[in-house]
Amino acid sequence: MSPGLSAPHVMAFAYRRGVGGAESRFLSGLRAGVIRGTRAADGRVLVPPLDHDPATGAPLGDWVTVADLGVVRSWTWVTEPGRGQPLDRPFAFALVRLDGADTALLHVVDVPDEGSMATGMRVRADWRLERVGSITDIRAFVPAGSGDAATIPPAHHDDAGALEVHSAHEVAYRYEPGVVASRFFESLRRRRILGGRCEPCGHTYVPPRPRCPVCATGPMTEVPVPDRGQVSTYTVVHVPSPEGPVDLPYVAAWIRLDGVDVAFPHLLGEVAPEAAAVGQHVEAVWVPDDELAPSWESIRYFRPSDRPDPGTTRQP
Amino acid sequence: MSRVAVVGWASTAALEPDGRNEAELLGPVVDQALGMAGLSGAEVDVVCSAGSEFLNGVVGTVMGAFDALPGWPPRTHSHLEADGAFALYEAWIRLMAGEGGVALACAFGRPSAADPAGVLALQQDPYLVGPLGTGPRHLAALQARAMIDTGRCTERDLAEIAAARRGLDVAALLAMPHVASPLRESDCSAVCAGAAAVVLATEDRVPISCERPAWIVGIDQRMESARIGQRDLTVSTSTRLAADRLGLPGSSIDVLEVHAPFSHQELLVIDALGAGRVGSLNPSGGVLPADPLMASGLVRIGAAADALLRGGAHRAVGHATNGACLQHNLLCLLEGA
Repeated sequence: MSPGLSAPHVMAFAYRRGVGGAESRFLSGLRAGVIRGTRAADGRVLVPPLDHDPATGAPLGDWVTVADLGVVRSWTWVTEPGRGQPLDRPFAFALVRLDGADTALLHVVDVPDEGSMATGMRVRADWRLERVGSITDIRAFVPAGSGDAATIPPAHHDDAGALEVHSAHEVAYRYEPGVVASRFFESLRRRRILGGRCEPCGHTYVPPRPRCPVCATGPMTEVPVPDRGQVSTYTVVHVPSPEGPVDLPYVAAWIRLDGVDVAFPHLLGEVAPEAAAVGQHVEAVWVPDDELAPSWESIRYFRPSDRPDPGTTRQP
Repeated sequence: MSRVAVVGWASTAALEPDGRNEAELLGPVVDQALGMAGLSGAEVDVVCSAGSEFLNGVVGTVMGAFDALPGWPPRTHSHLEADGAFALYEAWIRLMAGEGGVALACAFGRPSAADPAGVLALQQDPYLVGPLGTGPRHLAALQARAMIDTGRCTERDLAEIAAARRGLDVAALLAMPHVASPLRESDCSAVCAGAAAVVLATEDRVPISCERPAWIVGIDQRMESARIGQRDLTVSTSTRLAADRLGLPGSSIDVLEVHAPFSHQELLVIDALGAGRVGSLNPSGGVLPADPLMASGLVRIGAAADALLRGGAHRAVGHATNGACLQHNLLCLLEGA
C-alpha cells in the first residue's frame, strides 16, 4: 500500500504543425500517390528525404521518384495494437527500403500473422483512396505478388501547398503528490491544516515541503497551524477562470496563516472587492462534512475575521 | 584549466512505487553523495540537474525537486531535460571553465506514475513517425532484428545478457513470449522511479578525506540521425567516434558500465568501444533490472567512479545514451591517481 495519494490524470498534447521543407514535398507527394526522395552528395537516394546532406550539410535539391514496392529490412510484431497506431489488428512495424532508394522508410505491414513476416520479403504500398498529405496516406504495406509492378497513380494536388499535420496525443498518468503533500491533503479532509517547520532555519511552510527550500534540510517537522491568518496581497478577478465555479468579480488572495512564514493562494469570500485589504484578518470557511476531500477545496474560501488571535498574529 | 574528479555519488535502489515525489527521492541521495565526498551543501558552487515533467505529467515537478538541492544563496544552476549524464558533462565543463570548485550533477525521474512508452512516443518525429504510434520497444526491436539478421547475435545471446543482468535462467527466459519480436520482456529495461547525484571537485577543492578521487580524463558525446531508417542499426557509430576521441580502442578498462536499456545494445556499445580488455562489465548490475529514466546514465558514471573511489580499479568507463536505438551516446573515462 502506497503511503501517498494517487489520482488519475490525463495530459493532452494537441498540436497543429505546419510542414515545411523536404517533409512538405514528401507528404504532398504521398497525397498525389508518389513516393519521392532526395539524392545525397554521395549519390544515395534518401527516402524519406532530407533538406541537407547528412554527411556534408550541403543543401539537397535533386528529387527522385522511387517505386512503391520495396523490401523489408527489419521488422517487429505488434500483438496488441494500441491507441494511436494505424491498424486495429495485430501488424508489423517495418523498415522498408523501396526500390530506387538507399535508406529505409519506417511504416507498418498488414499481414494476418507473425509467421507471414520475414526480413527480405517484398512489399508494396496499399494506398488510401482519400489522401491528405500524411504518412498514413499509405494505409500499410502488404506482401507484393510476383507480378506486382510499381503503381504510380495519376498525380493530382501535386504541389507543396500548406500542409498541416495534426497530432492529439493523450498520456494517462497517476498524479501522486508525494508523501509530505499527501499528509497535508489528507489533513484538509479532517479540517486540519498541517505546516512544515525547518528546524535549522526556524521557518514554517504551508503547504509543508519535503525539504527546506533555503537550506535543503529535510524532512521538516510536521506542525498543526491555525486556519486563520492575514491577507498578504490580493487581486480582483473579472475574467472567468477555466475552473469556473466562482461568480465574477471575485477576490483571489494570498493568505499567510498565523505562525506561518509563507503565503498560499486561495479565495476571499463574504467581502466586497472594494473592501478587500492587505493585512485583513481572515479565517477559513470549510465545506460541509459530506464535501470534505483531500484537497484545498475543502476550504471554500477565507472570510474577514473580526477576532484576530493576538497570541499568534504577526504583522504582514 | 583544473583537473576535475568525482569525489562522491549516490543513487536510489531499484524501487517499487512508494509514493515519494521527486524531492523526496532526490534529497537523501544528495545528502549521501555530499556525505561521501565530505562536503556540505554550502560548498557547492555549481548545480546541474536533469529531469522531465513529461514523465509524471505534473507542471512544477522540476521546481519542486529543487528543494532537495542546496538553495540559498542562489548559485549557478542549469537544468536539462535529458539524462543526468549530460548534466554531469555540463558540470565538468563549468568547473574546467573556472565557474567554481565543487559541482553537483543530479537527476531524478518518476515514470512509474505514467505510461513511459506513451511519454517516450512523444519524442518521435511528429510528421513521419508520430502518426504510426511506434514506442521505444518497437524501435529497439527493429534494431535487434537487424543485428540477428546480420549474424551479430542470436536471441539466445540476448537472453544470456538478460539472464546475467537479472540473475535468471537462460532457458526460462527463452521460453517467455516476445513483447516486440525478437525482444522479450527480459530484454527490455525495467523502468522505475529513481534519483542519482554525483559530486565533482577541481584539484584544489578535492577534500583531504577523499583518498582516491576518480579523475575525469575525458568525456565525449556524439549524436546520430533520429531517422533510424537512414542509419546502419547494427553498429553504434556515435559511440565509436567518442571512443576514438578518448583513445579507448585497444586499451584496457578495469570497469565498464554500459547504459543499455535493451539487451542487444550492450553488445553494440562494447563492439563500438573496441577495448582490448574489460575487467568487470556492469558491476552495478546494469540497466536491465533497474532503469530510473533520467538518472540511469548518471548512475552508470557514478558506478564507474565508485570502483575507483573505493579502490581496486584504475581505469573505468561510464556510458550513457539518449534517444531511440542508441541515437546519442556519451562516454566518460575516469582514472585513479
